[in-house]
Amino acid sequence: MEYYLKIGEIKLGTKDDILRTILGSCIGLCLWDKKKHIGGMVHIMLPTPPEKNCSENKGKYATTAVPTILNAMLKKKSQKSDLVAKIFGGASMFAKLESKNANNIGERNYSITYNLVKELHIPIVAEDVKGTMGRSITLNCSTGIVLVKTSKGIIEK
Amino acid sequence: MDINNILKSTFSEAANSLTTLIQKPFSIQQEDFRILEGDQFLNELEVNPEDFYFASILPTPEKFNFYVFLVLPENSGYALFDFLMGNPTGTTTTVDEDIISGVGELTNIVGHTFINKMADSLHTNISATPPVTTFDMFAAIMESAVTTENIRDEKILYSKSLLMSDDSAFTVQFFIVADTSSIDFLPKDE
Repeated sequence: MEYYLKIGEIKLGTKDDILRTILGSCIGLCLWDKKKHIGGMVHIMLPTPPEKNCSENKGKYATTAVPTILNAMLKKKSQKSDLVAKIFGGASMFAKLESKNANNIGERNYSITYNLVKELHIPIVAEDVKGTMGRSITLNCSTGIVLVKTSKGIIEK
Repeated sequence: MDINNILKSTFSEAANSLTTLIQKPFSIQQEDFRILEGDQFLNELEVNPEDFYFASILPTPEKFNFYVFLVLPENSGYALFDFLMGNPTGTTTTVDEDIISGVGELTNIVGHTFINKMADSLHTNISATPPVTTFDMFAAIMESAVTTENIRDEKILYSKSLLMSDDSAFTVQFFIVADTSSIDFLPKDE
């Protein structure tokens, strides 16, 4: 079954499931259980929530999305040691504006997500991040392979 | 005057500037106008998120925290560029630096006309910086639009219009992305 993730959504899949989303400055974090062949994806919009005790959609912010998707995988009986991570997105599509404002949201989204995953000791085995182009990513939950489509073509990660 | 009428008149003015620029008369048909809630915009717009679009962003750094977005489907961008360059329709079929620059110039004029007319309607001044133009997937563009300036409680004023000449029709979509407090300056629907 194919599922398209909107901003802030978290979704898990197994076997023949395909998870897909489109990213600009947002981050697509994929976790994959290499033994149980369970895949998870979250579409992260911003680094941190506006308030510490934000009850809003937890997938929207990196600091809440990373532990939430990990917990969802663990509830499916995944072992943390069996998980690998892949990170995509974080583009700066309006770079000229952002350099003026010193507000590169894509880079900050990536940096915080990367550090949070590292702190959890989950190996980051692939990434395609930053730059100036949007990305469409498709996670095959059976194989863990992610197809990354941009205006320049398709690559496999 | 309510915001719908303001947008109608501002878009008509912007379309007139386009007519002058490419020396071809257009009539305007506004097909849609809505206020969208921030990051839910993709659920409400009937657009294939993977389709490629030209998009220009014009920030208004002073007074109001909002910016104007012009979005053109790929084919409309090519056709308008051909008009601008005096080429037969269908000459341009791929994206390069020239077309990005050309579409940027079109949106610079249309966007500033739009902003100036809106300022007149509101009896105020609104300044905007030159546009930044890109070509990418619709969802990636719009997702970056609502995060670039880190507007967290954003609202989006959305206007979809059709520019029609005797032999052509182009879809142009205007978005005004604003934080909630800035959007309060706009008059409410009557």
